[in-house]
Amino acid sequence: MTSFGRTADQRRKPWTFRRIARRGLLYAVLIILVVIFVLPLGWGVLASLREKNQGVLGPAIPHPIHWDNYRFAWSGIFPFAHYLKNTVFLSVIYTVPVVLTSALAGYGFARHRAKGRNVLFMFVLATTLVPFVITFIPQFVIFAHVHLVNTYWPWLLWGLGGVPFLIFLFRQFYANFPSELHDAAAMDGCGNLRIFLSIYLPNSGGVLAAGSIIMFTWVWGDYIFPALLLYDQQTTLGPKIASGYTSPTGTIAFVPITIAGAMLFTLPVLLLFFAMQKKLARGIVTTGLKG
Amino acid sequence: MSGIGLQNVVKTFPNGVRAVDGVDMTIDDGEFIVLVGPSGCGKTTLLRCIGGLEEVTNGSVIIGDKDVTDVAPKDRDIAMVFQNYALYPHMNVRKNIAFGLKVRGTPRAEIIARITEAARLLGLEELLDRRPLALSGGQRQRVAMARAIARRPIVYLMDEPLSNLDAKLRVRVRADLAQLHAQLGVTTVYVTHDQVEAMTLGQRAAVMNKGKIQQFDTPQALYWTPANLFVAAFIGSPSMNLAQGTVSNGALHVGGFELPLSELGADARRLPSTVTLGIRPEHLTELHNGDASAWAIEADVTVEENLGAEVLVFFPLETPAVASDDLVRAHSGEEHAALLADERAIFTARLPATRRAGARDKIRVGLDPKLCHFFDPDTGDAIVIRDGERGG
Repeated sequence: MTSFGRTADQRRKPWTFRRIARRGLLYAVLIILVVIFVLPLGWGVLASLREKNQGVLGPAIPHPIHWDNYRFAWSGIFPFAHYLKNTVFLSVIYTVPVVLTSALAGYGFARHRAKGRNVLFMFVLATTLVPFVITFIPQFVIFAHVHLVNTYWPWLLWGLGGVPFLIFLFRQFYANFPSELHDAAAMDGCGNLRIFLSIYLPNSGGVLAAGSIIMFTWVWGDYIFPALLLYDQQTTLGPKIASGYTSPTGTIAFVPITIAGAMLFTLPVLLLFFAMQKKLARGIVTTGLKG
Repeated sequence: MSGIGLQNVVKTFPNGVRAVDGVDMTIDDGEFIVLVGPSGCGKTTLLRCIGGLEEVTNGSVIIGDKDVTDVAPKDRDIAMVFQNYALYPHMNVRKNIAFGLKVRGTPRAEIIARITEAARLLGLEELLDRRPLALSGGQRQRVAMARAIARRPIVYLMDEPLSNLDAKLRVRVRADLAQLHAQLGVTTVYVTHDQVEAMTLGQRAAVMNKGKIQQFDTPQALYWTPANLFVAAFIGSPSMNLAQGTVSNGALHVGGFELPLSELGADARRLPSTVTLGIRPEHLTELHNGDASAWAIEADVTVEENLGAEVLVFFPLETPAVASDDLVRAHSGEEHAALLADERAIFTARLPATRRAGARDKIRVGLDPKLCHFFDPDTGDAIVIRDGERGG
């Protein structure tokens, strides 16, 4: 007997036509989804290996293969590593505070009985309904007034403000966190902040990983705000790749090199995603379920 | 000095439920008291009010000579053992025990000494580097105890700490707990719905129902002189037998039987015209041919359960069952509660296993008037016939 009380034979269902058809349909849908997600990436890899003067509509399979496009993308036209460093720095100074403050806010909304708590939470959620194009110009004006344009301070300040989506994610997770652990820590002598730092945070691995990856990926790939607020040496790879791979006069865009640069730009987050995939899935799946 | 004083403590939740309803209690320094009652009676809420985990709506909580009503849990110097142990999952046993000490700034050498002492006391030396996930239920329970002990607080609060253990382990840990309290002598408030724990662990026990203390006394007093019907029905297993009776012509009439009041002496005058009679199953004796008893009743046996060491014999009396919401609550968890579904009063007799006869037989039992209890059928309060004659 298995642990489920059925024998292996009982569990091995016969391959009926209905079962084969259902399984076939499932695989067909999965294959279509994989193609939809992988095709642009595959096209990008192939397009990045074409001759540098070929445009977007070059041959599907490059011949000969121009591996040196990657060398060019890295150091031939602008110092890729310098802007990569900027991008990493910007992503980290945004991601670390945004995850921590969102977790803290989520903890507050989940665990602290206060008048108006739910109204305030609804207000926080409602801010996600405001399209960013509406706040985009006012934010630029404010940062310009306080002389924070062309600095990384805006990202740190945004980070310290938290993000409604993450606050919601953490709030759901902490609302289902065993309340006895909170009580035990309170009896052990902890105040609310210490309970959060010593008990909640160390037990939030999955949701922390999920939140971190989502935020890191978002800020890593952002074009608009770096393009608006950062110039020259301060900017990040997003705007740089989009505008930087041209002939010295700026009249010819080297599309394959631009795509090679985009591939290099994508690689770190892709590796980060694969490295933390399991934790990420667990973080999202267990949100709201952990009891 | 670490006694506890509760003065008119009220706890009303935002949804309007009044979980604790005007509790007054004085717990002496070093005393082990048990809060016992059916599920939802407010005992855990009262414990949490003492610990500061719930804000009291009204009244005061005093620990030692300090009013701690508005003091945060962390500043009350109390340790609590939770029903599900609440061990920190990301810390090993050593760190779990050390956590409270570390938070309070205890010097490192002192922390190590206390961990060693608590681990020795509870036999955890081999488990110090394990995480809670790698421990059995009994081991987790011991870690939770060790965590509380290492703190050396002025009060221990325990919220049904044995309820997740299997029956055998529960008996052992119960004995360990009693021994630990004898060694440490720290004021302890222990919550349980298990009357065996209440009877065996508590120096005094408070029986609670609907947020109120029904009786706060020694376990023996709860058993021998219950203050009201609820306590009478809740304490003792199987429950006390109850039947409605009327007093007339110098006798108590119950289920068609006439029990002469002369047996109760002059104080029988205190009985009102209608009365609820109570007698514990273990205080009924079977009468055989020729046996005489001042008070005797006879009935058909409906069920007989042979438990090996004793026999439980169930039989109905031709009188309506004494029923109220309180009694249903008092009987919750009682194995034989289903028998209450009968509209007649079902009596249980706990008899020696040597009894030979089986079900469907007639049974004649004798009631010792001195061991009978009387209650006012309207208020449920006990009517004291003779003070000080009973006692374990």
